[in-house]
Amino acid sequence: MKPTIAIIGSGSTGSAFATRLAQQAYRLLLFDQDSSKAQTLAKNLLQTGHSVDVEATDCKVTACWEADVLILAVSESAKKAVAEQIQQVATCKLVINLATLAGPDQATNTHAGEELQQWLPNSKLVHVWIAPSKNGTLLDTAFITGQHEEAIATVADLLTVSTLTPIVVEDWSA
Amino acid sequence: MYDRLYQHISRLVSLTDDEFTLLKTLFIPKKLRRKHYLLQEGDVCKAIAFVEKGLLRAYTIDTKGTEHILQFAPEDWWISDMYSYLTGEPSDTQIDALEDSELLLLERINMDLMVESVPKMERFFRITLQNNYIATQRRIKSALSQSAEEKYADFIHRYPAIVQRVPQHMIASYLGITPAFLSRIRSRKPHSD
Repeated sequence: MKPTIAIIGSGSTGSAFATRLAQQAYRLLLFDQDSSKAQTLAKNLLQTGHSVDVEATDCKVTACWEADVLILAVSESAKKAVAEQIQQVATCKLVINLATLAGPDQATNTHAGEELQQWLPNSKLVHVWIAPSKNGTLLDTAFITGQHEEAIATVADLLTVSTLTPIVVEDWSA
Repeated sequence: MYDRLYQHISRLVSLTDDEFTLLKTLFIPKKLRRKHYLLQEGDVCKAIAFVEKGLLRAYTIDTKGTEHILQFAPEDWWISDMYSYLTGEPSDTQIDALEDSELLLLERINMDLMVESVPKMERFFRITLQNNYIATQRRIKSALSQSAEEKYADFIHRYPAIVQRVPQHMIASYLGITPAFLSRIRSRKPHSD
């Protein structure tokens, strides 16, 4: 059965991720605070192939309720509010927290991971760190951290089929 | 989201608020649209599903492509492929939603955790499985020994709510008779539904 993935956030990282996943056997539900962004992304992805199964939604809670896997691709400052809204429908689900690796000139923000787990206490949280996208494309390597072994393995598979090379690194927040 | 589950469990065992709060953290809330699948042939059935809202069916497809409905599951019912769930082998069954549905899914690891932390849930699942076993025996007896008329009369008597919500050809499939034959039975008994 085709798993359903909800992608919250259609910014550059969310879009680049959605583009890769759309080519695989997943059903994608896209949400963005700016609904036109999610709609445009869905429309563009649908034009890339007949097997693409993508839909823009106007409610993130419903999207996450329907989905088997949730991807948070929103800015660090918006994560708390989003996590609180979706918490009830995210129970026992795999939640992928997409985080952008900070450049050498920026301060790193490694505490967000711990806090996110407090905001989503009953979810299997996995962090995927990627380099900032350039011109809408992702670098081919992604770093994975998390506490839940099975969830990490699932995310590694998901990244591999999306032609990203997953590198599982030790969780320094533990 | 958990109202029916709470009432359903409370009929057999009484839970404290703390126990139910813990239970809620072990179920995956899943909204399933009409015609969408919960399980397809070849998948491993990873969870049993409790129906909070909506209606699902489980069925197999034979070599000629004919569907055979094994079970309907409206609100308060559980649905799964127990063989695949317990063995981890791929399923030969499909489960899909006949109406937009809201489910609570329980994976095996969480069921184990549940009975470990709230032992009275062991009693709940024992009684639920007993009832399920009785229903299965009844269904086998009916399939082997009842006439089509008797099967249909029995079905509408036992599950009047399902009759209202499911198309006739699916009821025929569940009873193991052709839709044409079911339609003839119904025309002979114009007041039965």
